[in-house]
Amino acid sequence: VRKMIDGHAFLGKSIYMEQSSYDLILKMDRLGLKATVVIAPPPGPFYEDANNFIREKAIEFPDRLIPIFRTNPHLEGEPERVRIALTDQGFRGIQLDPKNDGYGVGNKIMKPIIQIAKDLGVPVYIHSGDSIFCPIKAVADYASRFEKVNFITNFSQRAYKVAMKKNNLYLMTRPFPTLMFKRKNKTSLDIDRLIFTSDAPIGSLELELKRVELSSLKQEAKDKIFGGNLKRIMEIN
Amino acid sequence: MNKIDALVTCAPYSSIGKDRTYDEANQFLAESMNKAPSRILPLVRVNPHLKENALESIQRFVGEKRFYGVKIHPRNEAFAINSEEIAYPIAKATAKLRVPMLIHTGDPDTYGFAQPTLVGDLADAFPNLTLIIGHMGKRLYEDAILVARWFDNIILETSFRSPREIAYAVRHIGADRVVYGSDMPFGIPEIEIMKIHLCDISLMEKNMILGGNIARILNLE
Repeated sequence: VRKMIDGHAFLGKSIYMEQSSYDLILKMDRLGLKATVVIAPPPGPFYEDANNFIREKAIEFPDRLIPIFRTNPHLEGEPERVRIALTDQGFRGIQLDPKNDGYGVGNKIMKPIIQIAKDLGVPVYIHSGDSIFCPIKAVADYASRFEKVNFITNFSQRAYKVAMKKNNLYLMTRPFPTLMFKRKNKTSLDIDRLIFTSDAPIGSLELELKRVELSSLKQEAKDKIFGGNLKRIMEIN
Repeated sequence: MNKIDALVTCAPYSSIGKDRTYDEANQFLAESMNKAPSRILPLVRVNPHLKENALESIQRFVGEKRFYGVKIHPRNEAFAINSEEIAYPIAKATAKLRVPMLIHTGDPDTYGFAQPTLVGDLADAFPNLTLIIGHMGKRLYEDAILVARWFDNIILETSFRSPREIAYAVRHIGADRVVYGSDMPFGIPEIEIMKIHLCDISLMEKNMILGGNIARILNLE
């Protein structure tokens, strides 16, 4: 029985990448994944067509694809589009990418969108780590201003140290921290805060699964990382 | 699959002596090589700030003990890759012995000492020296590929890069100038080898990266 969920993959085509629903689901079937959280690929600034594509594919494969609405808060009228996406179009969360869309984490343009996420109880994916626009510390600080919103952001050893102090901050695992599990940090990693992600097609699902395999995790921990945590914060079965 | 016939190895930073040399660690590698000469292929690690010791180590371990090349680490030892005062004498001695030089490269921490583009100055000044860019510049992999396109004597090493990035390098500089590396124990060989197998390149190109190229560069039989 397929149980695993990939918490972050791209679906669609952009100048950076291409992944069709056919290729993705074929790979999910081959590697034993039940579902994948799918997000439109960068770059922006406009994501309307890309989000529509995500929506159509999620309707086509309702049990396999979990759609996230990619939003650029710079755009006029974006909060309303976010609200409609979450209430009427089946999107299960939102994605913010400060690096690609050019704003610092904490910028006031984010607030109306985060408020909607709070009102509707959906998680916010927020890119972090590799840009002055979105250092992990800024994401953690921002998360503490919205304690009822669950934020999901990128993993790193530094991110881990910062994020573990915030109860509403979750970390995507790519690249999966195999050596941290095998070595000194084995007992300190908070399994309840990790969400398995591949970032496919930028990342490799095969590699990430291999990294998990080599980490020698117990099944109970795997169940949480491979979907249990995500189901809890997305309130899905 | 995944069996490793031989490994190119060097002393880790943690093995540096109180005198800031790698003499003891290099000697340990020499003894290891003697126990398994066809499988342990050491590079002599030197601290280029200690010029006399570094040049003597290169002569002793490469010239006499038959190590396979030289390793320098601009971040650990705090020097710029293209420093004429610090790095060039090491490059000159290495070129004279006709062995490659492996250089750690990566993100511009430590004031950018380890940026891969700096390898271009060495490649230009020492056209007969084979320079291996360690970790393919890490997140600066596009810079590493760019400088490798400019200089034929630059080779890229794959540890920590993704299959997409490795395939990108192959498309731009050719598979004959890309070599597999694991950076074990910081990297995991099973993962790093799997990355090569997952690259969208031909089987022949994968075999070149996984051993054919380094065998050629090190003049292995």
